[in-house]
Amino acid sequence: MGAAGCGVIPQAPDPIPSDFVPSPSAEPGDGPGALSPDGFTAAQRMTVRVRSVGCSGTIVLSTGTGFALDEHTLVTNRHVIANSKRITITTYDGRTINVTAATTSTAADIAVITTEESLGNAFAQTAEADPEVGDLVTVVGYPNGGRLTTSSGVVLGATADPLGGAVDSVLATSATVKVGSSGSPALDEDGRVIGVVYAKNISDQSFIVPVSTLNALLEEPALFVPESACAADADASSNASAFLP
Amino acid sequence: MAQGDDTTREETQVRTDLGSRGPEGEQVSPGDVPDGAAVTAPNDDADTATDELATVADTADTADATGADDASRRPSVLPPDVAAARTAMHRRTTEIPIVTSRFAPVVATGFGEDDAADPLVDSDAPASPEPAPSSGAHHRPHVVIERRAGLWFAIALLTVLLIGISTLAAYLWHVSDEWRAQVEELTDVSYGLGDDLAAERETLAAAEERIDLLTDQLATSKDTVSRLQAENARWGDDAAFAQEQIGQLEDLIATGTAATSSLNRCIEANDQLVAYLEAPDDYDPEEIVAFEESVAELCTEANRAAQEFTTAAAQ
Repeated sequence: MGAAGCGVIPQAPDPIPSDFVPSPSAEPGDGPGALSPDGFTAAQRMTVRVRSVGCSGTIVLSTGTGFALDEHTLVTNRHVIANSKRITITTYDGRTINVTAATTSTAADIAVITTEESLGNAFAQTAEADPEVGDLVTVVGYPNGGRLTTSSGVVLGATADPLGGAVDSVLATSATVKVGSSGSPALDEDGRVIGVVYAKNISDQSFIVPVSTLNALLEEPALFVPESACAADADASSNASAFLP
Repeated sequence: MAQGDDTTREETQVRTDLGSRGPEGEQVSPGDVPDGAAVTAPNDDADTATDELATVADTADTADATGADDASRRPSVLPPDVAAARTAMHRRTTEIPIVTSRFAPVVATGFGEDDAADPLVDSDAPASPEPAPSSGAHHRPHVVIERRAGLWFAIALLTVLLIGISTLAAYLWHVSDEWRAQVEELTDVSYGLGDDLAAERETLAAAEERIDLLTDQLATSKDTVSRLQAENARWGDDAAFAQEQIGQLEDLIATGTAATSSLNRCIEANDQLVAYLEAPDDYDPEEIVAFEESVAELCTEANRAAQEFTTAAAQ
């Protein structure tokens, strides 16, 4: 009876809590919308423009694209730097960097370039596996040697190398690329590298060296050979019309 | 009041129980009451009740005044019916005792509902001219005392209830005040939070406008950076191309210089040959022929160099 009576009799209110407004827990810079130091994405900042001056009597100047693996190493296509006497790197913010050495692989159209000067602070993260058919792919590069451009498409599937130079199969995508896009990183939705653009066909389909091949090559430095200045590259010259210089 | 009604019902019940017996313990009906006794209905005449109450008061005064003497005069043993009634009333302690007998008829009304029915003791009331029977004289004081006890008990109960209700009311008043104070405080807090919210919303709106503006500026800056980067790259390409052209021109100039030098030497050799041929007697003819052959070879080289220069210049 007493307990029931106490339950019926209204009680005095408890003290008013002081924690009406919770403390903010989010820090600026968290989340996917966080800004980069200069407004450019990591993919844009790690992508560089590659200029190659040919060795022939006539002046041959071509451009391609590459992306930074670390502060002094970048990846591009072998045909971009083949038979060249001078290679120059230009970053997204206009800095010009000279190349100190270059190595190429015969297993795929891949070249690794080292620089003395720092490439910046944004570097590529490679995916662990190749993308599936239908996965979204984004290509960041310098088509026609012009402005930094991003194009998107989907993975169409694996196919044999249309140029016949690659040992393994390559991936075809619907992302539109142009001359000068060679060596562009192909990225998945998380910004990880899933391939390296190296060719296109008349149907505007692009071909990329899959990341599995890239990872295998990067894990075996012995598969790369030094690229000497103005060295003859008969294979590259014979397929020059099909490459994206 | 409901309590008064209950009391009335209890009194009626008790009175009925008691009144249903005669002074000698025999069963009687209300219409069969002997003289001097009464079983009254609740609404009997007030004068009759007053007289009877006076009789009861007289009896009580007499009992109070005589004290121990009366006690000594009272029979030591109560009549059986009175004793039974008292025993019944003592067992039912919660009931208000009702004075009921053939000597003291009681109006069955609740306390406070009918003053005439209350067992008041009037000291000034004249003593009853007729002495009460001996058995009634012993019964009345007990009934009055018990009725007084019931009255005091009711007063005490009402007092306790009043104190309890007052305490509860005070407590509820205090609780209500505290709730009211908290509501006022919460209202103040709510208004404060509302003001803060409004201020934050204004700040947010201003910040969003600034963010939009800065986003536009950032996009413009990015576009400018990209454009300048592309122009810089183009200029770099042009510079590289020009550098290559300069190198090729330097090579061409070197080739031309060499060709020119060879041609000059050819010309000089031809001039010397002409001088030799103008004075053939002064020189050995075989030496002149050998010199002529060397000049021809020199000029051939000069012509080749000139041809190379011409070809390079044409490219």
